[in-house]
Parts: sequence; C-alpha cells; structure tokens
Amino acid sequence: MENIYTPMWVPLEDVITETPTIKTFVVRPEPPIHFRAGQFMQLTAPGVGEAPFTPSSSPYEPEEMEITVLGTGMVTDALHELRPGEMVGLRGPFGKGYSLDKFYGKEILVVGGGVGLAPLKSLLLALFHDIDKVERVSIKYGARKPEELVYRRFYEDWSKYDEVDITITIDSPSPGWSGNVGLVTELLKDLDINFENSYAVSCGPEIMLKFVTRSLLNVGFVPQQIYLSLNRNMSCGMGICGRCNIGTYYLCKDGPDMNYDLIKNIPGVLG
Amino acid sequence: MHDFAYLNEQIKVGKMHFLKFANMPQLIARLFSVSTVYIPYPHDDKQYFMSSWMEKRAEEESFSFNPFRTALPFLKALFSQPKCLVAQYFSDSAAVETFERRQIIFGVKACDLLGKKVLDAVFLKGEYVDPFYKRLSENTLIISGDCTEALQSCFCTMVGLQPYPEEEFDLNMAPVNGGYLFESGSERGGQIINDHLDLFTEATEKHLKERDQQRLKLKEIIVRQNQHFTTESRQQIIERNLNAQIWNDVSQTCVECSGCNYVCPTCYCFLLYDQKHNGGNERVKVWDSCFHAGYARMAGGITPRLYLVDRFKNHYFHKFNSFVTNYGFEACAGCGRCIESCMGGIDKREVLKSVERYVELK
Repeated sequence: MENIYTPMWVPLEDVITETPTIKTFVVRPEPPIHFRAGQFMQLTAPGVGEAPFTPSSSPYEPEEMEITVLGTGMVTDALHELRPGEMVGLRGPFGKGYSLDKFYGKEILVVGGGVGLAPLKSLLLALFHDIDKVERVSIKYGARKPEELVYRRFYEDWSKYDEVDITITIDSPSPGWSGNVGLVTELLKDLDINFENSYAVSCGPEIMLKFVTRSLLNVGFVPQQIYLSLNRNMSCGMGICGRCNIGTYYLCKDGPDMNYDLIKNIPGVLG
Repeated sequence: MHDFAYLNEQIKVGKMHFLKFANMPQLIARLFSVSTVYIPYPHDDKQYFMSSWMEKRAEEESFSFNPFRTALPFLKALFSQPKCLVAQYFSDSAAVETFERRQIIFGVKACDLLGKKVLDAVFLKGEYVDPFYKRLSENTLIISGDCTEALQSCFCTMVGLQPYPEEEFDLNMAPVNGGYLFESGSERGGQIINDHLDLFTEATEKHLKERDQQRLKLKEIIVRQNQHFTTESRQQIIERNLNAQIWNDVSQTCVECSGCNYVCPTCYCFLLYDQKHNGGNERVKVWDSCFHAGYARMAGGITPRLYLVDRFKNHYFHKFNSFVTNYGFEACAGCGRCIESCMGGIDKREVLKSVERYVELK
C-alpha cells in the first residue's frame, strides 16, 4: 500500500544562486513528475522538514524540474545549505494549478512581486508553449532592489514574443538603476488592456496581493477575473491535516491559486 | 438444548442473538485467546481504558458493560495514533510499524462511531488513503453498545444522532433482562457470532421490545436535558455572522489548553514533522491543535488567525460549517467530552445558542 507521507528522494542536479536570498534547485526525478503549471511540490530538507513550492520550470519539460526557494525560515535555510549531489525529498504534485484553457484567447496580466515570479514563471512558460492561443501576456514585475529581481537573464527572451510585454520596477531608487521606480501597483495605473477579455494572475507577499487586488478592482477588473496565489502553512499537502484552510477551502487542494470571487468575503484573507 | 439448525448459515447483518450474562466470561476468554481485547472499566464515575486494568481483567476474564461513553476517545486514538512514525529514511532501520496485530474493542458508543465516520471520510475515503489508519481499521473489530445512562454533557440527539449505534459497528450490544442482545453490523461481526454460536441463542421479540423501550426512554431523557440548548441549522447560524462581537464574548475564558481537540472523537488535525534520530531521519505524524497560534504560523512572520477569537471561531466553523460543505455531515458527535474537559468552563451548546440568539437579535 502506497505510503502517502513518504517522499521520493532525488539528488540535486544543480543549485543556481538567483539573488542573495533566493536559490533555484534543479532536479531530474526518475520517472519525471508530471505537473500542471501552478501545482506545488512538498520539498523535504532531510531531517529538517517539508515546505510547499511551486516549480518554476515548464510543465511541458518535466524531465528537468526547477524549484526556486527564498531563504526565510528553518526548512528553506536548510535547503539553502544543500549542494549538488545531496538528496532532497519530493512529494506531489498537489493543488489545482492554473486554469490554462480559461486563459486561451484572452489577455493575461501577470503581476509578480519578489520571489512570487517563481510560480508565475511556470505559467508563463506554459503560455509561451502555446503562444498562438493567447491574445497577450503582459508581465508587471517588481522587487525591492535590483539585486532581488529574479530570472533577469530571461526577460529579453520573453519579450521577443509579439504577444508579450514586460515591465520591471524596483521599490526605491538604487544607484545604477535607470528603469522604473515604485511599487508594482504603480504599473497597474495606466493599463492599455482590454478589460472585457482579460484575466489577472498575481503572486507575491500577501500584502502585495491585497494592494494589487485593490488596484485591479479600481481600474475595472471584476473579482472573477482575478487569480491570487495565496500562502498558508502546509503540512500534509493533501487537504487532511487541516491547517491551510481559508473558509471552506483548503489551499493545498483547491488552490494555491484562488479565484478572488471565491474568497472575497472570507474574513482574515489578504490581511 | 439449542437448535443448531442454522449453524452453517451466514449470520446476516442485522440479525439478533442473545447471550446470557453467565456466558459472557466464556466469550471474553475465547476472544482474549485469539486477539488483543480492549474493555473499558469504571473509575470515579467515569469509564476508562487502562492497560494495567485490562491485563488484570484478562486473567480474571471479567467483563464490564459501560452505561455511557468512555472519558477519552479511545477509538480515535486506536485508528489515528496520537503519535505515529510514518517514515524513516537514510537510516539502517528502514521499516516502519504497519499495525498487523488484530484487536477487538468493546465499549464503543454511537458518538464514538460518528467520530469513526468523520475519520474514515478524511483518512480512508478521500483522494489520499492513510495506510496506517487503513491497516488499524481493518485489524480492529468494533463491538459497540447502547447507552443506558446519559451524562450531563451528552447532546448526541441535538446533532442528529441516537444514544445507540445504528451504523459503523461490527457487533452492537444492548443489555436486556438476563443478558445481552447482540446485533451484527457486518460480515465479520456475524462471523464472531458464528464462531461462538454455542454460547448464543436467537433473540426473542421480548428482548427486542425491551431494547427498543430502553432506547426510547434514554433518548427522551437526553432530548429533555438539552431542550434549552437546542439549535437548528448550525451551519447557517455560523455562516451568518463570522465577524460578530459575540465570538469575543463566548471565547473569553478559553486558555488554549487544546483539551477539547484532544478529547474530541472528530478532531483529526495533525502535523507532519521530520527529525534526526538514531543516525537517520524519521517523519512523524502527531495530533495537533487549531487553537495554538503556531498551528498555522508561517515562516517569514505571518500568522493567519493571529487572535485567539479567530482560532476559536475557526474550530466551530470547521465542525459545523465547512465539514458539512466538504463532506456532507457535521463533525460533532454530541458526546460532550469537550464540555467536561474545558479548563474555561465553555459549553459548546451554550456557544452555539448564544451565536444563534445574537443573530436573531440583529
């Protein structure tokens, strides 16, 4: 009988330092783990614990899975200590993932903050795979400082698609930075987007999600058009340990990306 | 002399047999010889499963029928272990206990069985099956019993249950004049009767009538003792005012001891954690409490349900609202163990009634 609590052990192929606090772990699980963009894996740091992360690699290339991790606590700090060749545990995939078929034929506004671009990258790669099916992908991404921007090496490639535009911003001025300065919500003020035919997908710290949602509603989006990647402490990842609940939903089972219309009246969401 | 004409027939589910009091020690002795047997015993007005007593009772082969539920939710503790080693890795001792030992548990009541129904729905019937729960459940024979007395804290009737088991048992016992009525609730329950048919006789109409009268009488007592507490549509009551001030009032004396979670037959929240042990690593599953701030605390400093009142509310919301939405029935057995154990003297019935009244007054 399958033990739902044990992970699959894989050696780390590579560890890429993205920023002073963010690393990307590359693994090649055998057999490859098939996941939908937006689904998450429970990653185990041996002897320390598990935490949920959404792979940032393309679901169409499951042979090489990339997981980007911000060092912010016990498990993530332990993961950051690992070197290529050392073992990590994988359980999953869990969660619903993004509703890709809803996004075809639409203009997709992708709003990311800090390490929030990591789960969004999986969505982006999935959309780019079938870019002819998408009207437009408009990426608005911000971080506190230039050195905290993740995946800088990919921005130019992404903007090569006709359908894609990328705008980057950093919170406050920094020497040597000549790009946009200001919160990512500033970038939502002059959207040349067809509201009737669009969806907005956002991922980042919960406080950012709160203000992004407010800005989007102000400029004309309705709740059903907004998808938010919420964060809650997870343990089992399977909807049975109880802790990640938001109202009647379990983030690990029904999310982690939730349609704002479903959660807008639940107390204690988005702070 | 008994009529053994039906000796080789499959004992049908629902079929009744009668066992004289005098034959009970013999049945117990036979069961002890093939299985581990758990029987609750009285102590200080309550009923307990205590291993030291059971060992002594095994020698004496004596039986005690508990008129009401045990103080602690033993059935829950059997199936969903308070602390369970679920995995070991990178160590020499790679094997984890798989709970192959057969066991029989007496003394289970209708409220405990509702708890089993909740835990089965979560650990057995969902998308992911807990292999430890499954094995324990398969290897445990449940011999439940009618209640013949009510405790002050009993309110099973309020949550739509009867003070007698109707489903989820292998065998159910009801004390009647001169002995016990045994009802088989499953094939393997029937098999036990079959295996020891020489001790039983077929139940008579008189036995059944006596049992039914007893059941009705006790039900009336419980309904009456809960009259001024009774709430209907608890799901709606909680839905309608999640931000109400009333929740602050009713949770005033809560001290987050999590006693209620521990003694509740339907509480199942757990934590999976890893630790280094004996040169290797192990993963452990332990009971957890939604009343603690740490339950949902996240790395990076964010704590959802930061205030106790929100966690308190979430506990009720889960049992009486979201579990109904997700699984179709309330996650409350009306057993009253939470009421007995609360350090702050909080009575769930009073809380629900207060919230219901508050909504009406608005």
